[in-house]
Amino acid sequence: MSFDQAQVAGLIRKIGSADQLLAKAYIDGTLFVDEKNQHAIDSLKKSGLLRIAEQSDEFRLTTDIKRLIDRLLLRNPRYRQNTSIAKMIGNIADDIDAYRAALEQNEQDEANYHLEQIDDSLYESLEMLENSLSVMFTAITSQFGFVNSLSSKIRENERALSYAQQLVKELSIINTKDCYEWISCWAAPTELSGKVIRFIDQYKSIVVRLVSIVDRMKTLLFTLRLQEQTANRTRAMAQFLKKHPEWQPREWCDESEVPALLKRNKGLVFNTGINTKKSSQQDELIQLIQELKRQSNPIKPLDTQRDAIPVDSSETEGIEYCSDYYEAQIEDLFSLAIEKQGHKVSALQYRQTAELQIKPELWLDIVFAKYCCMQQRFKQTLDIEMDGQDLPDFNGNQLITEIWLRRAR
Amino acid sequence: MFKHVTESLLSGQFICPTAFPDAFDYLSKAENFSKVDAFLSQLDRELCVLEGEEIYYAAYAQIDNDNRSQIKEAFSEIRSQLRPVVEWMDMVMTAMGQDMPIRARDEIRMHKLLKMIELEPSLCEQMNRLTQTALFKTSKTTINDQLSWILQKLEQCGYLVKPNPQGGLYIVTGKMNYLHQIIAFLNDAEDLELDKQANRDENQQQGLFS
Repeated sequence: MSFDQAQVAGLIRKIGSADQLLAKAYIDGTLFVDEKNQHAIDSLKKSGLLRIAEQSDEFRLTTDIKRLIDRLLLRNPRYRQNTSIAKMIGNIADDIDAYRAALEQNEQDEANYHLEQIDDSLYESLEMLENSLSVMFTAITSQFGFVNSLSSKIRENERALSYAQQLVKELSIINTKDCYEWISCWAAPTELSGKVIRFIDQYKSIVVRLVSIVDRMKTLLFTLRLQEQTANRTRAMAQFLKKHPEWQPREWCDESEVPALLKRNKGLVFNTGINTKKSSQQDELIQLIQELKRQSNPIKPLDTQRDAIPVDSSETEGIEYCSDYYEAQIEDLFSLAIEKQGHKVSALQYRQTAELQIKPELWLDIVFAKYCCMQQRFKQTLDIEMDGQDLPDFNGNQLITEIWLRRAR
Repeated sequence: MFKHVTESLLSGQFICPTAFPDAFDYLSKAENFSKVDAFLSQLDRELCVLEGEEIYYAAYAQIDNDNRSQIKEAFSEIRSQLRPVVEWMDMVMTAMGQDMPIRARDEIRMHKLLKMIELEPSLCEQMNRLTQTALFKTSKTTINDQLSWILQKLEQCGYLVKPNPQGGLYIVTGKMNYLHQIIAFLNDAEDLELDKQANRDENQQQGLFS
């Protein structure tokens, strides 16, 4: 076994012997030093597998090993890569210059080394792009399923679209015609030209797929925005209907031009008679009649002779929306508490300032009841504190003498 | 399948992948679409596709004095359902904490929804209010019974389907998307300014927390 081989085997052995520690660091994010793992952690740190986190006794996986696990287990897929194509081309150009120089000086080992570097760089950049494309494709087909809310989906779609558009721009830096010309004018060795041509072929296919992904992302973004508009409109309609209990849509079907959306009919009711003259149906018909005769509770025919019922023909009138004065006052009190960050607002003080003609006990009762009825997300914005005396015999019950409201931090 | 599709369309159903998967597949083929459309045209009707959606329904090709009352009746049904169904959608969105609209193919799991409503007194109150509206009117008092009743009613009205009669899973049908389009139409036609209202609410909400 060569020295290099032994070094690689040693590193892999080290990873294997610390499997539990490394897995814990990957899943939990951090490892803490204790008496038992001190030695192992030091050794892993020395090998570049762990790094110190914020505290000196806290360790994390190094980015290289974390990314390696991410990629091998297809976890935490990311489509955003550091795709600086110009930088990548610059690196490869340097390697190619070094390769040419080694060839001209007939240093075969050195030339092989540089050729391997070129191969790695080309493969790495293509793999990175392929990976990025595949994650973006999955994101589109699952409608950005890694986030739940519509607003997050829209945000992710916008970010992915901007990244993909930037990538298309970056990739346009590579001019395939120039690459072919460069290979032919220099008479590059077949090992190198083969690699470059393979790269160009794959690159072309990536660009075509990427352009189609950009189009699909735009369409999806449009669809998601339409859904957002529909959701907002539904919410606004619900609010509108609450504010206007008297509102009814106009009778659009009386218009001379009925809107296309409303040309629907309520639906036909299909009642079919029996052709008694058709001999093929007679057996079934006889069976039906006999079955009806056997019925213990025969169906009563409709009473067509019933008395007429008077219809109330008085016109319906709209009623004024009545707002509750004290509900409005409580809303003001809550708004005041939200506005005055860091200060407690007293419910009794408010009652006095607003000169409310209501008994203080009743006022405190309705403030507390209103607070209890608030939706959880609003409750989270307001902290409530109460002064009071415990009532005898009833554990936990209080006679409330004051309510303090404060904006939650 | 032709008979089933045409009968469903003529009886006022919306053919969507949720409620009528086989009929939907049938109509998705261009030749079947033309065949059904040609048949409906003999009855002064046409096969329509809901704008931007994959939902089919039948509508009158021309309006005349003979069919105007039919159209009015269909619109009256939607008018009477608009208020309770919109309030129900608003309640479900609040209960589930979702910013997505309720649309065809969405799943409503009764037990999950019930759990979320029971946790929130304001939603329980909203349920009580809903069961006082004409569409969902009932004397049932427990939230469980009320919710079950409302879902049954929505199923009867064609907004939901229940794949398994014994289960608690409901799937939203294309009729809900039709209702969304009706809301959009009323918003434009009656200048309700709902989109402005939605933006105002969003800004106000952000303002409160900034």
